[in-house]
Amino acid sequence: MKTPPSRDEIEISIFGPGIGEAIVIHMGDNEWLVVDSCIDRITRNPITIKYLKDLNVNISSSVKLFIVTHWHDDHIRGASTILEECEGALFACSGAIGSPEFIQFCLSSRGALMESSGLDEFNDILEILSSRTNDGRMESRGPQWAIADRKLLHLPKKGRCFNVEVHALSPSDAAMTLALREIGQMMPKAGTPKRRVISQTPNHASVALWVIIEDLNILLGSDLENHPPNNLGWKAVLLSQNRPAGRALVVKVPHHGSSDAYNRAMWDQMVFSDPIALLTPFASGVKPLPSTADIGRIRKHASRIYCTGQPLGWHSPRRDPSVERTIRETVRTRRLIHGRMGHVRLRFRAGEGLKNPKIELFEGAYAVG
Amino acid sequence: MRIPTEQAIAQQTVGTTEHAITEQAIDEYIIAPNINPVPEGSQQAFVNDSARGSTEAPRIVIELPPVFRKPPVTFQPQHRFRVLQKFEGTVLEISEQECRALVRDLTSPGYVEEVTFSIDEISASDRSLAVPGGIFYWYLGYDDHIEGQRYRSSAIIFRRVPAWREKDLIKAQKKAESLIERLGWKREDSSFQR
Amino acid sequence: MPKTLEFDLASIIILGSFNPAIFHPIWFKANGLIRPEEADKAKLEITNPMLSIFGIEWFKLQVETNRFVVQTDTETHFELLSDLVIGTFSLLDHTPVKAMGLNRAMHFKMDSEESWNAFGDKIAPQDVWQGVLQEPGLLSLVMQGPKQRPNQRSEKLINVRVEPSSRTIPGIYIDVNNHFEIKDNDLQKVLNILKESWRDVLINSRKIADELMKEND
Repeated sequence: MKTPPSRDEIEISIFGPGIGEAIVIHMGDNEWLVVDSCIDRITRNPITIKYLKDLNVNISSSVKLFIVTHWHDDHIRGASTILEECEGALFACSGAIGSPEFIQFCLSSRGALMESSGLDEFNDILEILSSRTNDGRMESRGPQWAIADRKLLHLPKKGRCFNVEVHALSPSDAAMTLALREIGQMMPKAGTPKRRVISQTPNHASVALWVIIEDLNILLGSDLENHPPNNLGWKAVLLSQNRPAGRALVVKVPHHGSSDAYNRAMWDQMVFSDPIALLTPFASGVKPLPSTADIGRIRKHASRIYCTGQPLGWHSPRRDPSVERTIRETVRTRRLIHGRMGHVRLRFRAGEGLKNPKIELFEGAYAVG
Repeated sequence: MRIPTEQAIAQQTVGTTEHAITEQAIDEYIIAPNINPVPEGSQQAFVNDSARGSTEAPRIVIELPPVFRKPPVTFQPQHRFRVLQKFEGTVLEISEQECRALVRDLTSPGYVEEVTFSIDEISASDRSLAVPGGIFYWYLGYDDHIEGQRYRSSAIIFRRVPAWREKDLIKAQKKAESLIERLGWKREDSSFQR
Repeated sequence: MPKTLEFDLASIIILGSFNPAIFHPIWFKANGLIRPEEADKAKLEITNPMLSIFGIEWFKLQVETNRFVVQTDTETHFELLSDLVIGTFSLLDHTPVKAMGLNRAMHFKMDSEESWNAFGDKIAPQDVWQGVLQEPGLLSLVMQGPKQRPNQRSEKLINVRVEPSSRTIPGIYIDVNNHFEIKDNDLQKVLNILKESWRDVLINSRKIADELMKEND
């Protein structure tokens, strides 16, 4: 696991413990892209930092772009630590997050005792960005606002193994408007009790990404969902005249494979037939994801499906028998949702074509049979 | 000493209640309890003034005029809850019968569970706090009573914080505007620029 | 086990400038900081501009003009004690403060007088005092870390007090005071410390006590 990719090897690694996900991509030449963040249950540190350090990557200079695709707890826990350590990285986030409404929302929750970990992280991110501004380090570091049809990064091939581009596919203008309206509705009002913010769905601010590394296209679906209006979700992406051409060989299935995020045209038009599909589970909620039906749907488009973990079936820690007895007597249902950190890793060697990547599964990750 | 606005208002409120006691009306009062009562005749009873700047748990008798003479009252708990397991929970969903919550293990950090339990597990006085986003502590252990009886116990207690104030929200808004200006973020129509 | 924790008290003490008259159960109830029933059943000892003392089922509050003290011996309310203080001073956000103490005081019952004496001998060796006092015995021992030097006052230090317990016999009383100096009347710093450190202080205080008593196991 700790062998770093070679200079001309492309790597896509996805991590997911049951709540949260994170992705790292080696773009060649020891240059890395980090998307979102989740923490390792044991160390309480971002798993991507640990992984890159285990590979002896100099994260302060080798990470070129760090993107937070939305502010929900499960995509952002530990993000401020990543931002702090990846000093040389350009930071990008959803355009909706940079709005005065969202900033005010974050700042008002600071010190309220009820802030969600997502807002807490984002407050820390704001502090880091602010101190970098004071140091005069901001211009080249972002944030880049991720909105539909914007190129976030371009690393030309000159002197490099590969030409690299990272494009945001969403949020659309209409999605931004909706996201800001939702933030407005979540804004606390004077006299109302303080509450922790529960992640809302659908997440209109979510950033789907298109990554081009030479001939390889990677579609990272984030939590982007499907909505009736043509100017939202995957429909807006498909109708865009400005999105990059081509088809993806590797897909990070959107929103844990849920039916709400399934768009057949996305698979038909943007993805090769029989791609490699990557998934993370979501163990919370009334319906853990992916369900058997979700897997069945994905199987129509891909035979190679890999998930970082099962959404169910993890074991709680061993507790005092009297505690366990009391818990069983008190609760009606119970489910562990933060389990083992699973890791799926793909490596493509240049010159060997894109047909036979090395696929490795670590910890709780498994091939969906 | 400058009296803050809130304090001034509270002071007026307190002054009109039946509990208000003026200095002249005081006959006696209970001196702060000594956590570790000083042995009778001990020199420790005469603690020097430098200890007054200490933030250690109070164990000294307050020296006040002789009229305040009642002996210290110590804690005498009727029962003691020996905690074996602690969770912090966030309410996700609430219905008339049931509460669905995410509980984070504080005793073995790193484990998060989703549970549902009957609304009856919540004290009546906490029910108004049991809304999506409401946070509670959940303790499990043994409740040992003074008469010797032990009970296996579970207690769900909701956290209480003051409600949002207008001035806090205005402060956040101003801070947001100042931060955005300092960071050089500008938004025109629906597209962002730096 | 050679020792059992018989009595456990957590307290938060803030030094600053206060108006004790404000700190009344009705004020706490009105601001949603305690349950209405708790306020109604509160035992009010005194409330005036010089001193305010009251108690409810799970905490006792005492406020003087320069000192705010709240304490609980109910383990299920240790975390909530911090919430109470944060909530209180979020509202009284102009309060000048200069220091804060986060404390945990524990009384351990020893299994025998022998082990009780052995602990005393370990923590304060008798042989040093044998030639000086007749039948020397430990009355009180206070250790501080880090050591304070002239012109070099730490912003944070820990005082540990060890005494024979007067609550449980034979027993040991260990009081861990986590002291924080607060500059510039920075109340927000007080709230941040409470939010970020209270739980760790409770855990570490217990660890200190367990460590001191370790060899007696």
